[in-house]
Amino acid sequence: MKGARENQLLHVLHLEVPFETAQQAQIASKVLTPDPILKPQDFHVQYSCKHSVLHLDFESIDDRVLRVGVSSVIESVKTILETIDEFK
Amino acid sequence: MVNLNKVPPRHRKQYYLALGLEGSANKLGVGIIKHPLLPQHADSDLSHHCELQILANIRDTYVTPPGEGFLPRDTARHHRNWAVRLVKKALQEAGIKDPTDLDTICFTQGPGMGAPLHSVVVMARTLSLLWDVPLVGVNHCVGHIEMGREITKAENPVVLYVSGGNTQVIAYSENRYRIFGETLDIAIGNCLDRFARTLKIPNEPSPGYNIEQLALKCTNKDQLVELPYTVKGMDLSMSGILGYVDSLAKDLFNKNTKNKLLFDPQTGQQLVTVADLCYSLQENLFAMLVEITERAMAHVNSNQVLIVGGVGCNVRLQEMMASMCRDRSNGQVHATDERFCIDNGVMIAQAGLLQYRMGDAVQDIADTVVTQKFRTDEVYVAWRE
Amino acid sequence: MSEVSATYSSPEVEKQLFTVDSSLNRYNTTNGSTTGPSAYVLQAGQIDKDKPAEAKLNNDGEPTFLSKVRMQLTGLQDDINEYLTHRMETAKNKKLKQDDELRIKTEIDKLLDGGEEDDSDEDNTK
Repeated sequence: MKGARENQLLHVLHLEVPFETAQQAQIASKVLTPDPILKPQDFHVQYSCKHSVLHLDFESIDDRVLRVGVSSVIESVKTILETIDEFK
Repeated sequence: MVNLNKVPPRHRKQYYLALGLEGSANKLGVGIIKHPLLPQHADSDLSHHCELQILANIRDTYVTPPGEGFLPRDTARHHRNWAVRLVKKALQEAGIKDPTDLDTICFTQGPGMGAPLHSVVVMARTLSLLWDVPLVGVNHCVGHIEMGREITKAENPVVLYVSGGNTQVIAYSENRYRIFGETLDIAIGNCLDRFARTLKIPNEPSPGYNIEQLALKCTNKDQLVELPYTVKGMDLSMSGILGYVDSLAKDLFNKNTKNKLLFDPQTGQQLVTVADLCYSLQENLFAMLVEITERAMAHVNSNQVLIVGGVGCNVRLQEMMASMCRDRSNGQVHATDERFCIDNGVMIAQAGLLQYRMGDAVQDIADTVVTQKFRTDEVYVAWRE
Repeated sequence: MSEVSATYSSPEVEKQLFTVDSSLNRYNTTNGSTTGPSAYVLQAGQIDKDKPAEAKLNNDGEPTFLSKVRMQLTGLQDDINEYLTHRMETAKNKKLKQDDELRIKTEIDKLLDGGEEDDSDEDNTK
């Protein structure tokens, strides 16, 4: 830490995506977790499961970075939904 | 000697089944393969004699309009939107009713374009968790090499890997595919593709193929347009040649009669056609490749060459390489056809299944993060002596 | 069935809710308006052959649960993208407006403090 003012991630979005089962939601969470998205000092996302619903908590330095990060993650969620739907 | 049967097939099968997913550039490939369980694999060096059966080889290419290249964002969109449909088609073609029977799901971990690679790995991970099938991350170049070895049965050749994204001369030594020579700037496929854009020729089926066809139409083969020849020791550089040939093309289109190479200074008559430029460019670039390949062959005392990667489909390149090999104690050049020299999922399955059989499966999903840079020699080639 | 939803907040916005209205076409398509091909390929004449796959249908010809979620998410994604783009533009205009006001104020000050006609009157500017 350089001692400079720490960037605060004050632009936040909370997204909820329902699945059919808790197992499916957990699969989604595991698939999404490994990948870094954008610079960690500018953007952060946390995944969690409540029963069969996937919760995504995004925090960002501004609206522009938030939009890019959120849309990118949603693209991955749509792939996961389509894959589970076809191959479960 | 190596034991390729170290990890037995799952569920007591007498064969291995692997699904391979490729998406590092603009081709999305899904392959399904089968390796029989063979006793001779228990203690030998036969990783290029797998008795490979290809159960499905599906591919869809993202093609841009003439004059345009493919950018990561749209390429990733193409892969995302087609991935599930292609896997479904591959499973149907392979007759696999129960995908939980697969031994492994192999995916390209790198090198390549970040967003497209990522689109594919998201689906690979999901399938792995749904079906409870282990994942294997594969180096794209090693995929090409192993496919080339299995199809051609070449015995320890020097490998020339030439594609849109890569240009390397590789030789196997002590469990590594070592890079003996490579491009110092751009890949040869990239050079050809960008020239194709300058000429605004179609990208369907591929820009390189269309350059090759144009070159065949050259009627002036005896009068090569002189281009810079930039071999540097074991390596080569191509960006200067591209810049120069691009400027020649522009002068041709703009009818810049001041260019004495292109237009007769007295009459202003055009001396050089687009076909001539394509021909000369190929001859020049390929001669450079032949030179650095030959240098590597001398180093490792080999007279066999295996050409892999999309540019390997080029018949002229194969001819020039064959000619050089024949002059070297009657050596041979080996190449595969467009089913396999162009990026595909089967090659990823082939290399991945060899890795899997040697015990290299993903233990932690965090290890499946894709990477744009992944050197060929980073892979430990456990399946060879 | 539970539906896709989202909530946004920032230093300027206390809470903005995003919900799905299943009667609207926007939430019943897999092809989002903000997730099409890049402008540059469309301008070069590209015809989009790579749209997302259609919704999967069950035996009754209805979209499956997960397909419905995918379509709702597609619509919500468009909502979020458009909302954040709008916020970015508002912020940009506000900044432009601020820059404009600052520029005008500086020009007025210069005018009031004189120094317009005389080249030699350098000391009059504050």
